Order: sequence, then structure tokens, then C-alpha cells
Amino acid sequence: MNKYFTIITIFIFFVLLCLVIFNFNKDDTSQLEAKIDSLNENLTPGVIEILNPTFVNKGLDENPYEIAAKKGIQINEDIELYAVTGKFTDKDKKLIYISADKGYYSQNQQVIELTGNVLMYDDLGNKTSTEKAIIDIEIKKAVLTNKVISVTNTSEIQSDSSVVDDENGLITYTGNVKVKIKNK
Amino acid sequence: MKKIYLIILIFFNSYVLSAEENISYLEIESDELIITENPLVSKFIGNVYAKNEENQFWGDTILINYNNDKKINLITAVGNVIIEREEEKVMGDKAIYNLKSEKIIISGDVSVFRDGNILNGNELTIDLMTSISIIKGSNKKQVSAKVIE
Repeated sequence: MNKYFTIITIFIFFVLLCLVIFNFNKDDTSQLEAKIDSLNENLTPGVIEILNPTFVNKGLDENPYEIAAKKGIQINEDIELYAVTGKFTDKDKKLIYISADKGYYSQNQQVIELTGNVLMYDDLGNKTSTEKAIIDIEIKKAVLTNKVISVTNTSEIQSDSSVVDDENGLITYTGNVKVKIKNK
Repeated sequence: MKKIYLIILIFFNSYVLSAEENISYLEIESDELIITENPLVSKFIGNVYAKNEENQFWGDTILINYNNDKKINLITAVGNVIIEREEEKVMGDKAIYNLKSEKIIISGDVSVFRDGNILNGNELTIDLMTSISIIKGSNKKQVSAKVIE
């Protein structure tokens, strides 16, 4: 009799244990599923983080350029860049260098938008700083906004905004233009 | 007979320093500036004010032309032009300042104000080298002067 009682007790205990384990796993799975759902909600589809991205166009006949950054986040077709540097060539094949805290590069449109400590300079010591610049690589045009300062060996120009049209050899400074020219 | 009246004024103590020395630094303020590369020209547009150590210029627009060494060789002010220096003020419609010949030619409706005297004419040429200024009239407008005794 005792033997049967022991077997029944063990069986009941086993059933109870199975029920406990089953419920525990069910809770855990639910929590995991909830976590995944939460992650899926937070993630934007098509976002890829890239370390040290570099974009190079080595076109022999026109417009070679290089854009690099410490970090990039690809959002669909466009790329958000951090600690941006770059090299472009003007119509006279002279190198123009750029740097900025942040950039937004559209590969399809060949446009890069730079913000924060934007600097454009060349090998001759000519440099222009601004807070924001939009460079259209294809048509070789840069629109600079917010506190534009251009310094050359012989002059210093300050203005609210500026448009550099390399293709047509035109630079326009607009708003509170102040120029100091050294002529000796 | 052409009725061109000529008055030669000699300002002994004016424009003694050479223009090259005066233009060691030129400061200009305006609403807009357009720089073209070939040829190199700077065009200042709107409420233009320029100054160097000796002179002050005002005008609606000021154009700066450069030579091959990218040095200024011509400054042209157009529209409501005022040139002021020490105790003299010149007003006109257009002024061309040639840094090579060191001459300023002011044309249009020209007025010269100095020591309370006023000269009116059609064209004023200031030679910065010789300190000689010549004011001319035209067929339509003779030179006139208002002199305080």
C-alpha cells in the first residue's frame, strides 16, 4: 500500500513540476516576444551603421572627389556622416578640402549638406568657414549660410551667407558684407 | 564755340600722400558682394561704404578692378557718390579712382565742399601726386562757386 502511495505522490509531484516549468517558460517566451516587438518598433527599417565610410569618385574626365567620415549611418539611400572630411576639385583642377562636424550625403542627388564648424580650404591658404553648407557636387555649387568668413592672403570677407558658383567663376556674399583688403 | 569753363584749384595741403600708401588697407561694407574670377572684379552693391587711412567713400555700388598680380588698380563708385577726407567733401554721380595714375575723376552733378566754400561743376579731377584739382563745366552747366569771404 505504501508503495502505491509513494508512486502516486511522486507522479503528482512530477505533474506539478511540469506545470510549473511550463508556466515559467511561457512567461519567459512572452517577455522575449514583447522585447522583440519593442525593438522592432524602435528600429527604422533600412538603417545601417558604418564605421569610417569613404566615398570616392575617380572620374578621369570630370569631378573626382572623396568624402570620408569617422562614422556613417545609412538611412535608405542617404548617409548621415559624423566628423566629415572631403576633397573636391574645382574647374581648374585645384583641390578644395572640406571638414565639418556632421554631414548628410545623398548619393543619388550628389549633394552633401554640412553642419557645424564647416571649413573649406585649399593649398594656397584660402579658407572659408561657416556653420552650414550645401554642396551640389554635380553642378559645382556651394551655398553657405550662417556666419560666413573667407580669408585669403590679401583679404578677409565676412557676410551672413554666400554662394560659390565654381562653374561660372562667381562668388556672391549677401547680408552685412564686411571686407578688408590689403593692397600692398 | 564750346562753352567749357575751367577752374584750376590748387590744394597745397591735400592729397600729399601717394595713393598706394593710402590704400594699404581698404575696408568696405555693403549689402552684397559679387566676385567674378575672369577678369577679377569685386562688385559691392547696396549702401556701400569704403574707407582707408585717409579717405572715405560712399556709393550705391562700388567696383574694384585688379591687375594681373591681384592688386587693386581701379575703384569705381557709381550712384550718389560721396568722397570725404579731412576738411573736404566731394559729391557726384560717379567716381573713378585710378591707383596707378593716382587720379580721382568724379563726374555727373559734382559739388565740392571745403572750408565753407562750394564749387559746382560737371567733372572734377583730383591729382593726388601733384595735389592739383581741376573742375570743369559743360555746355549745359557752367562751373559755379560760392565763396565765403
